[in-house]
Amino acid sequence: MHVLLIEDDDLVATGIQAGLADYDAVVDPVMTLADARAALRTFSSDVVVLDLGLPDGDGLNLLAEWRAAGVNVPVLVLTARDRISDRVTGLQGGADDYLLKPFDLDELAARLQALVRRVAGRSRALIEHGSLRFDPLARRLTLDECEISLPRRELMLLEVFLQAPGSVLTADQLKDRLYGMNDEVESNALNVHIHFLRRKLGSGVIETVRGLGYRLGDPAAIDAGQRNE
Amino acid sequence: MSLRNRLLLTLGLTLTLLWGLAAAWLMRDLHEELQSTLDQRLAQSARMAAGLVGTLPENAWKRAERPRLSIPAIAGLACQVRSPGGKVIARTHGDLDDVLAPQASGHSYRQVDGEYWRVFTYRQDGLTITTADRVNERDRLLRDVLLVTVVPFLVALVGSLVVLWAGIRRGLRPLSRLQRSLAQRQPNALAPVATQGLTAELRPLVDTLNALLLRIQRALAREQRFTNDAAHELRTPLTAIKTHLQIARRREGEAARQAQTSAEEGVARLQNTLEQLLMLARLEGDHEDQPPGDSLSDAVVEDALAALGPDARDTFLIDQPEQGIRLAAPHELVVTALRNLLENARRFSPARGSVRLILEQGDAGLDFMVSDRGPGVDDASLARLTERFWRHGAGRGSGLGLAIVATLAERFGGHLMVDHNRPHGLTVTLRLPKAVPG
Repeated sequence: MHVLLIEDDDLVATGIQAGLADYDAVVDPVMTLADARAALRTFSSDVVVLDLGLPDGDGLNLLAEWRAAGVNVPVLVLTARDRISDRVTGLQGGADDYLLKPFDLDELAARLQALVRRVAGRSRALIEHGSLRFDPLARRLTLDECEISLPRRELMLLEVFLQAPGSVLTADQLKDRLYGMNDEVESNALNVHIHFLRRKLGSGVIETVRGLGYRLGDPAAIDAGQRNE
Repeated sequence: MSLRNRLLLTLGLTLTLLWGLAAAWLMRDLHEELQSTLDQRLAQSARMAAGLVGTLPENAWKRAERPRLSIPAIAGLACQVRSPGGKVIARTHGDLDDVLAPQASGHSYRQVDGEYWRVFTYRQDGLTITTADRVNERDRLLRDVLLVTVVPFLVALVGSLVVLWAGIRRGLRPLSRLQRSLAQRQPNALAPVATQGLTAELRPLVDTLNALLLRIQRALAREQRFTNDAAHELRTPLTAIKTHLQIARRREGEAARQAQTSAEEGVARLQNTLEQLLMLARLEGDHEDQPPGDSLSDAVVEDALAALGPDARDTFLIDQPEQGIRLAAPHELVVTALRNLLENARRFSPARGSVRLILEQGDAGLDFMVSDRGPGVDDASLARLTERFWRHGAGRGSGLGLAIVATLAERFGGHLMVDHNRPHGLTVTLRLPKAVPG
């Protein structure tokens, strides 16, 4: 999960970044509305965390701008304004959720997961795909009731596919969700991760769509992988 | 009592009283005039009769002594002529001898058989002529005349009262409209009162009211913004503290220590913001209970620099031509103000010697001019610099520093001015009044 964090307080930003790392989320913090605009233009984020009081304006203005332009990435507004009217204004202005400062990191993570889940059209937190089961909050992956431990990046990559079953994802989209904006990514890193995932869960777990990208494989293919091992 | 009723009562009573007095005056004059006219008529009739009888030959009344001359009666008037011997020689009414009995010359009243008469007796060449008319007839005449006069008077009085009532009602209609529109407002509505259809007298009142409402509206908006900003400034470091404490609990070793350090940094920021807020609240609070106090310019500079750390003396270039100028503001507060200015300048212009402090004495007071060579601000931001919680860019201050200095300057009769420092940077001038000697 890639989170675009728009927050002008460096301490809060590093805190959120560190806290969400426990949930394997990649957090890219920006401090101004201008940076946020630029970031969302070039980068594909799963969810946006938006602070309202920013040095170059009110976050709600940016939100309105995005919604008017048809940007429908889920946005969680982070604010110190606790009046009901403020929340109503925020939600009506296009926010998907509202969290009052100070908040609990687990709650923030759970709310972000819920937003991503809703975009994927699921109502349950648990993701099932054939005999695979994944709990995004607990970061637990099981195959036929047996827990499987995957390295962080591989689990994150699998999560991206599980969150978007049936969609073809380009290599750039996958990299955006796996690495932050400022991470140096080796050119074959993605291929290496996909290779290991196929080896552990069956070659059919991720299908290559020639010339376009990758797609989550057929649920039946996973069992095959298990038998092959 | 309502304004309308009071007006109606005062004007109505006054009008009635004046009209009544005028009517009474008129009646009295009329009465006197009528009496004197009728008295004159009596006298003239008597003289005319005397003239007529006097022209008759002597034997004419001799002859007449037996068959008395009968004069045809003039309406409402009785007349009798007596010879020098006291015999009646001519009369208008045979049955009025008692009434017309001669007496002292001139006018008099006489009562005969319960009836009042006005009698005039006139003597000429031995003849005695008496004329008389009935007092009640006079009264009837007077009544007729009065009736003719008083009816238009009454009509005019009633008419003016009606006009008065209608006029006041109509004249006060803008007031009633205003009253209705004010009564219909929500108690906490701050929208301006409508001014159309208002008279020139009411307009200043409503304009003042509207201006006041606007000021309240603005003050409330400002308060709301302040509350929002204060909530943001207090909750943000609190959030940092909470998140980093949570992380510190989950991590071990270096990562945990790092999180703890961040949490402590958050505590420091929260403390700073709280202290600045309290300072601002104290400055804006009750002014009466604090002694004004005074301070010395060089001591202020000394203490402000001391508060800015050991290397502050090298960071700032200080130009203080005159020492020991006494200021009409307490020492601690002036130190705080100067420290805020210097700290602010250093934040944007951290190079050694790039911030200059000049103390300049003028008629109005002492100027502390702090110029930095930082990035400066644009014109729009210049005006907002002293607003509470206004921060330039993603700076790390509480956003209250300059607001505190501005409030402080204002409170002690001073002034805070901000301007561009050419070619770049900012010049902030704090002007404080000098203490009056003695």
